[in-house]
Amino acid sequence: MKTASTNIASRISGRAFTLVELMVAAALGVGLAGTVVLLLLQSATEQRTGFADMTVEEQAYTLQANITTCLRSMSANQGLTPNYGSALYSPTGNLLGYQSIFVFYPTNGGYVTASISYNSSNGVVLYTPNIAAPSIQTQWMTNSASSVLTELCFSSSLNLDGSQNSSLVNVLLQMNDNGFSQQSTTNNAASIYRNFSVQMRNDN
Amino acid sequence: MEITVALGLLGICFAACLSAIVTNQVCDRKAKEQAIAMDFLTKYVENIKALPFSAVAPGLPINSIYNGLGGAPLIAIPASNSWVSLTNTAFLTFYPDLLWVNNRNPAMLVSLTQNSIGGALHDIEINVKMDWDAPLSKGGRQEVEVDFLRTVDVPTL
Repeated sequence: MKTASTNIASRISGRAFTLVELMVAAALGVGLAGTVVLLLLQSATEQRTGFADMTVEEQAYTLQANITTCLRSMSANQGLTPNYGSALYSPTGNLLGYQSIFVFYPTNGGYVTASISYNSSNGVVLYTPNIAAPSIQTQWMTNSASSVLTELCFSSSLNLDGSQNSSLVNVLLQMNDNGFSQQSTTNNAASIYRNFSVQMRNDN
Repeated sequence: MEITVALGLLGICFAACLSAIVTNQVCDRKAKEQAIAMDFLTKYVENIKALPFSAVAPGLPINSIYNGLGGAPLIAIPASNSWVSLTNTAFLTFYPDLLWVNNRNPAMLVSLTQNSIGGALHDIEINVKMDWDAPLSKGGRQEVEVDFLRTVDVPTL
């Protein structure tokens, strides 16, 4: 003879879910799956934006360091000479600066003319230590899948009397992640707009 | 009972993961903001270094292109030991990336200490600090600073 408790256990283990049980289980399952997917998406976004930001910052830092090191060692007496054909204007017509400049390194009582130039079509920044030997060049930057240099220009400053001070160089650069982080352009931490100054210190 | 325990454990895991993500975001943001602040100070200081020694004084612009005339922004050396806000248009024009910390009360303090030799002004110690609220207010005010010495100009070394 079977006991009552055995019968109940047998019946419980053998029956299917009720509709309510099924709905509760499904709701819990959907909630859990949603949570896991949310975490995955959030971490993937974070990883992507972090990588994009880090890459752009690193590229900008390296470019800035190269420009600063180069300009600091150039002749303050000579300053910079713009390549006037590379003038860059704002949409309102104001001169922002020059995408290509000549600078001068003092040597043996004379000067070696060097140049820094930016090509906006491919983001290449080229440093030519001696324009008399143009085949020797160093490429400081070029566009890649995760970083694009959208603007680079140089401008001089003024002395207190209003005269030109071409030994204090202002540099403006804009760089972004080429859409790598898939963030909107208005709130993208990997979209930077840097503006720095360098005082030439050689031959002063 | 088992369901409650399982959900509790899952909740803890979820909170831990979310916390790790937010911590990472805060760390990223702090690093970026420190880099921006350092860059801003470097530019500010580089302009002061290029000034004639006699023009390193409170109230004077750091360069004539920042003298506030003809639509130019006014970026001057503030009164010594007075905090100035960096949220105005002039500073955003001077250094556009300040926009990233614009809603977290960025401020700058410039301290000028004059040293004389034989009664004549010989050098000025300049300390420039910038501070701002941390992201999500985690960790108090962030701060970076730059120190340098401007000695009196000499015609030849």
